[in-house]
Amino acid sequence: MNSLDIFILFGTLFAIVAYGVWKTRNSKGIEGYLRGDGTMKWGAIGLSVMATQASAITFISTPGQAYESGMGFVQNYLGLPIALLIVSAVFIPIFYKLKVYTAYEFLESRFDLKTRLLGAFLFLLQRGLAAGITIYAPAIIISTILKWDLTLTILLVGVLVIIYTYSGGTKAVSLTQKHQMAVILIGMLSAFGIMLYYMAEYVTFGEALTIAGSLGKLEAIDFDFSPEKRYTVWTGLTGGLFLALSYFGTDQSQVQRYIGGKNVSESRMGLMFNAVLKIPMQFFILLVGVMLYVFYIFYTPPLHFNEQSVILVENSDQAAVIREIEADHQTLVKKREELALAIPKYNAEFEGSFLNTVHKGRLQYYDNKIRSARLSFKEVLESQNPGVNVKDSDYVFLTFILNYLPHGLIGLLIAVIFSAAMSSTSSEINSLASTIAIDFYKRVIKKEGTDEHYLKVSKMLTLGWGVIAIIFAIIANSAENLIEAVNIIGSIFYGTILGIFLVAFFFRRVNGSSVFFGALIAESLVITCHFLNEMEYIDLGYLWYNAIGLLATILISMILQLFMKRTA
Amino acid sequence: MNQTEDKPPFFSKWQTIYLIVFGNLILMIVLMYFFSKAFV
Repeated sequence: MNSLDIFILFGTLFAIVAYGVWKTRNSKGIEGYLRGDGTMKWGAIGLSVMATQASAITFISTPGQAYESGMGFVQNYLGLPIALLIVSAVFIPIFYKLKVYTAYEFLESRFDLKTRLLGAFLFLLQRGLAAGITIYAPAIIISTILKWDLTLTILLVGVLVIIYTYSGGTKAVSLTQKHQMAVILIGMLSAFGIMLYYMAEYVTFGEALTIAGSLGKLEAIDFDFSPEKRYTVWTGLTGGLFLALSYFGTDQSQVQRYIGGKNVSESRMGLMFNAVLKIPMQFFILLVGVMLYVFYIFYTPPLHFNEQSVILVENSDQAAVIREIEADHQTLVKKREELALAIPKYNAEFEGSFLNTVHKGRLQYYDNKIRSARLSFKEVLESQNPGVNVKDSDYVFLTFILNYLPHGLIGLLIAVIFSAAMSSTSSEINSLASTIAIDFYKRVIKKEGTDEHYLKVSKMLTLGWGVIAIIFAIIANSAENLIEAVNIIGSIFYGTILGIFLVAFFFRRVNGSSVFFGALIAESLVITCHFLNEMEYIDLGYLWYNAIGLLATILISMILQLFMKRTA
Repeated sequence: MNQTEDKPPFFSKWQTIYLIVFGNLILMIVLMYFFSKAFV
């Protein structure tokens, strides 16, 4: 990065923060601070909802995931539009009717105080943990690759977020998210365009897709029923649906984004905006990763994308072994390039013939050999540094940005990562503060305070959660897969929270005590499943935790209700 | 305009919008399926 990049990076970030603070300088009162001022239109709500969900991890890990495993991850999002239809039709009208600040207020009006507090507590538990990861995940990668100090990088993101979220609350979060999304879209499209420009020297876009397809990278849809497969249409439409329904319907960081709309209609349209655009957006980000894979067929990739890990091994007594793997890798990469270049010709001249199949088979053979070379490096790295994170897919996209984008654009793309981190983190600390302020402080501790008092408490809580998120990020250990770590934490709690809400909406005869104890038993069951999975006693995709938590909460609540009725 | 106003900005009923969104999901699954098959 040069001074132009630094100027663009900090200029973009500071401009967004200053805009958020300036536009909300006259906002006063708890209503405006926690729910926005009720003027948001559907476009702003839609972008805010999208920006909250699209964290920095989305833009770092998702291209890396596609680089390793292809487009299959997109199926995770297939349940999202259906979930948004349900939230729009069932949840939004009730939230508006009750004029709630948090989703959990509804649980008290339907059940009782203890169920409301349980819902709020489960949210605080999972979102509080995730808030640290949202900052830590991009910070560890950016600090490694740019050789910045990790703590300072975490502080940069954390402090900037605290400034505008503390100052303007929900409205500042939504206003800044519009601009953060604009930066993200411009940055990602520019990176994709430049990647295609470089590749045009060797292949057209269509030919690049053919090469990617030959290597099995474009299998976006899989109808296989096998339960061991992590991403299929069925896991997306079931587990993905539960995850999305829970996230959009019961997670305060999302609920707060759309209940601040001008009216029910604007909030509903904001969600429909996401129902239509979310899958194409994820598809595009994954396609960036797949094209990156093809790009590195023609532009020699490093053996390992995390430069710090390479230095670690090169300075060890295994340096000679690594040099040998490196030499093999170079030869294999050259051979793969030759075969890939001939793919369009074989497709055109020998389509459907045995010759074409053999040629693709040879390309796949060398591609697998390259994977084996990369794996050998990781084994050496792990043997030299037990416990070190050997996964390098999170560094793939950033390595491309730093090595191939022109100056100026590098600064913009790093701003994309920071903007995404800031947009998600601001929603998180804003919602965590609201939940404590409304569901615990105002409801349980101090019921008769002034508007000014609650505003002051909410601001202090925003500041407090911001500091906690920074501390979590600083002490966080490296997760094996960052994007999955966040999703796993979410899946452990989301099913139960959603179960409570679905019982509230659709099972009118179940009372507060039944659902409260039903939810506690269901959550214990999910946590047990997770530990059994971790200890490899069972083999279960984490998305199924959502289904287990949800079904267990509903079933146990109904059984307890029947039991209580009989006892009475 | 009051907060509970619920007329969709396009079409006259929400059901129509929901149907379009659901149809769009089916269309995307079909398109991505053919996309997967087209480049094997």
